[in-house]
Amino acid sequence: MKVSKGFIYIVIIVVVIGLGILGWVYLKGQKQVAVTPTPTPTPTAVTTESQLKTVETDLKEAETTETELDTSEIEAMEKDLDPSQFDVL
Amino acid sequence: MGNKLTKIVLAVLAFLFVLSFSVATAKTDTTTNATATGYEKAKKEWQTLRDSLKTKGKQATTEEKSQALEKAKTMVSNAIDRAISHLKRIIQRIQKIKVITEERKTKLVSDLNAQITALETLKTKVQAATTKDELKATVGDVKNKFVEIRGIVKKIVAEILASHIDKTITKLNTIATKLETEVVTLKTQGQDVTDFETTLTEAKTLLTQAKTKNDAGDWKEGRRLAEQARTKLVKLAGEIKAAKAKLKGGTSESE
Repeated sequence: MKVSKGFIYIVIIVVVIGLGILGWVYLKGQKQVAVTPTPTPTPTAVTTESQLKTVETDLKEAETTETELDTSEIEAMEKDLDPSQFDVL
Repeated sequence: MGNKLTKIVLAVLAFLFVLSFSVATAKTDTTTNATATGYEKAKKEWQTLRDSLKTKGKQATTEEKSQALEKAKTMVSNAIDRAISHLKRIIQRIQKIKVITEERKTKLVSDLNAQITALETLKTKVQAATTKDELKATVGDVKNKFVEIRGIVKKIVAEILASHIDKTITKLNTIATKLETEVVTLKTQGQDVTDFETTLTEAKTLLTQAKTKNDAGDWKEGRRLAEQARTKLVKLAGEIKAAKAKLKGGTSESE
């Protein structure tokens, strides 16, 4: 039985993608149970700089939270829902 | 032939890959946009009919009024759908937030889910309305519910952000303490650290002010002051790094 090249390619790609997914799932699981490694001693200035960067990210995240939890959309609808507009009915 | 087939297979796979990402990311946006568009469309249709009824006055037929009532009900129902969609987005966001405990998150989500249930009940009431007075009364309830929901969300935002800023201030204070140690070390090594000390004092003052504001409920001002303190500490960290590099270079030269 002769197997076409196309079929072989598809099989290879499916296997690669499958292995990729399995690898990803495995690594994800590993990450969750991984024991926090002992921090390698680093120069204070470098550590401080990275910590300051983290703080910057935290502050940006706070801003995102504020934007995403904004209620102006509901406030605008409140104004639209004036019961007196239905008097014409 | 083989090459052509390979290209086709690769193109299909690339397409599926991009599509899967697009579908995943667009799912939420599509729902949000659909509810927003649905509401705006229904609002316009209702407003057109309302204006037409106003123009006709007493000459408006019962059938026209009945049609307009249905449009009004659709508009209010869509407004409720949009509010529900908004609350669901807020719930998703809350679940991603790390600055509050899981227990607190569960409580907040449960509170918001209770509001969603209340809105769904009101939607059923709107759809069951058969008269103008029934609709008006229910719309009044919907409006009050929206006001209540806004209040609840505002409180949640304040709680989350106050906690967020508080944790940020703690981190910045830890950094300030570390930098202070660095400044003291440089001073003992005979370096002129007058400017460093000034910047450090300014940063610490800003952090104290930020904490005071945040604890008083003014998290916006707390965040602004924390950001200013962070800028000062970034500057100080850079200066300390440069001073240490200079010192190291000088030592190497003397050796």
